[in-house]
Order: sequence, then C-alpha cells, then structure tokens
Amino acid sequence: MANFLFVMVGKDDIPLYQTGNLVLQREGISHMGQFVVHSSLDVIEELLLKANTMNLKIVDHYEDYNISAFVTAGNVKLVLLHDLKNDESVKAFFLAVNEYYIKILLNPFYEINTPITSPYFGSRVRNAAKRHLKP
Amino acid sequence: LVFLVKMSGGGAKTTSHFIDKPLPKGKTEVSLSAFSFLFGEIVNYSQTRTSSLDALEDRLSDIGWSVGYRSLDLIVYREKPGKRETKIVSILTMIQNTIWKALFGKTADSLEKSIQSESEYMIIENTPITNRYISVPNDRSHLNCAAFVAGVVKGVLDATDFKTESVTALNHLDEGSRIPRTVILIKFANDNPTTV
Repeated sequence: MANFLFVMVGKDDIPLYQTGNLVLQREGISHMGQFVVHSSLDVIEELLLKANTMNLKIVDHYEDYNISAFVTAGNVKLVLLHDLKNDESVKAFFLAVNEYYIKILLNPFYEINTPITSPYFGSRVRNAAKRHLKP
Repeated sequence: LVFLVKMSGGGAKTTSHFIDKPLPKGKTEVSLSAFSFLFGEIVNYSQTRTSSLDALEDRLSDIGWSVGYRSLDLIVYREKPGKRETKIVSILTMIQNTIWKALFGKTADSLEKSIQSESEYMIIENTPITNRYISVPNDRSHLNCAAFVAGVVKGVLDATDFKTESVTALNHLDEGSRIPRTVILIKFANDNPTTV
C-alpha cells in the first residue's frame, strides 16, 4: 500500500473523515499532512467554479507528493495526498469512496455535514485504499 | 488426504450490512397511494406540532430539504455520474429534468426566468403530487403543501452551493386558463460567483 493521507472535507471546511498512513515531518509542526491538505482547499475551490467534472485529478504538489481531489454531487471534497503516478487507481479509489459516502448520506439519521463515525464506513474506505492505492 | 470438516455454526444468519449492498441503479418506483398516505401523515404530524400556517409550511420545507440534499447524490450517481453544474441555468435545468423525473416520474412543466428581477426563477408544476390528495379548508386557503417540493429544490441548491435567499411555493392562477398552477419561486442571493 502506498503512503497516503485521505481527507473528506464538507461545507465550511469541516473535516468529515480522515485516514492514512502518511506522516509528514517538519520541525515543530505536527500534522503536517493535514496542513498541506488544508492549503490545497483554496486551489480546489477555485477549480470548482469552472469544473464540470467531479474528478479534478492532480490539483497541487508538495515536495514529492501529489494532491488529487474529487468533488461529490453535494460538493464534498475528497482529497488524497499521495505519491502515486497512476491517475486511474486514484480515480477508482475516489469512485469507491463516493459510493460509500452516498450510502451514508441516505441514512436519515446521519446528520449532514458532520464527521462520519461509522466503523463500517471506515473499514470499507481503508479496504478500498488497500485495493486501489498500490504503488 | 486431509478432510476439512466444516461445522455449521447453529443456524447463524449471514446478513450483509447496508454499506455492502449495491446501490440500486435502475428506476425505483413507489405507488402514489403509498406516498399520499405517508405525506398526509407528515402533514398531520407537523400540524400538531406547529402553531401557525407559516410554521407548518416551514416544517414541510425542512423535511423536503433533507430529501433534496440527500437524494441529489444518489440521483446524480444514477443519471449523470461524474458531472457537476456550475451555472444557474444548468442547475435549474437539471432540477427540472433529472431531479423531477427521478422523484416524480415526469419533468417539471416549465422553467421560467422572472421579468421583474434578475435573480428570480420559477419552476412551474401544474399539480404537484403533494397537493393532489391534501384538502385544504377555506380558512387556511393559503397553505400550500408544495412547500415540501420547494424544500426539495432548496436542498438541492444548498448541496450544490448555489446560494438562495428563499425558495417558496405559491399558488398561481394564470389569467387565461382556469387551472391553478403551483409555482416554485427561487430567489438567488446576489453573491453567487456564477450567475448566468
């Protein structure tokens, strides 16, 4: 499995879900990965004004890593910090997560735009990462 | 030879979790009577918990909002996967055609732009299914159960980040015809980045 950090961001930049095995180090700054993902949100939001597709592919770079993004129909941003070269596998991962997210959304007890706490969702997303995000 | 004997664990059921069930991709239909019963109960339930007609309409609108917001993702996944809209006219056309067809089995009767105001649009539906079987007594004649439908539209627009000031349902009597039409009036806020 490749090194990656996956974050789902809802409206008003609220993080809905996060998983990954990537630990970026920087002196004095912990959680550098989240910092990088957060700073790429500006780029993503600008792309959203014009993009007619959900898959935005690679939107930003940080050192050796790429940041790919995918936007759901309800404008939830799926952001992946990774070092893969293969665009297709990232797209397949995003499509799988999108399907799981739709199922969560269809649950009327899930409050919209709140963190997703379902352990089933978490395990399915991690499995999808194992399946698709291979170096 | 090694024989592997499998022990059946006393009638254990293998139920699959909803997250593993595939999303139904085909058209799913519900009978009009089932919906009307359910909606009638929703109106009744909301009525006992609100003190004014406006609050009742707001309640119905909120319920519709949740329906619109959530079903948007599913409808787009089924009908227009991978696509998103960035312009007002395109999102309204998508609502009139795709969303209406998925929820009501038909496209909305018409989509119009208001002459009076730059940021007002109207989706017109001759008899929304919410109003067909709800009888409104004369003393409450300005109640419009299509507030539910207005809520659905608002939910879709909120999900897709098109800011609206209000989405309301109005009864409108066209001068020429005798058929009252229901108009969903959508007022967009002025700070939408993509207006046309």
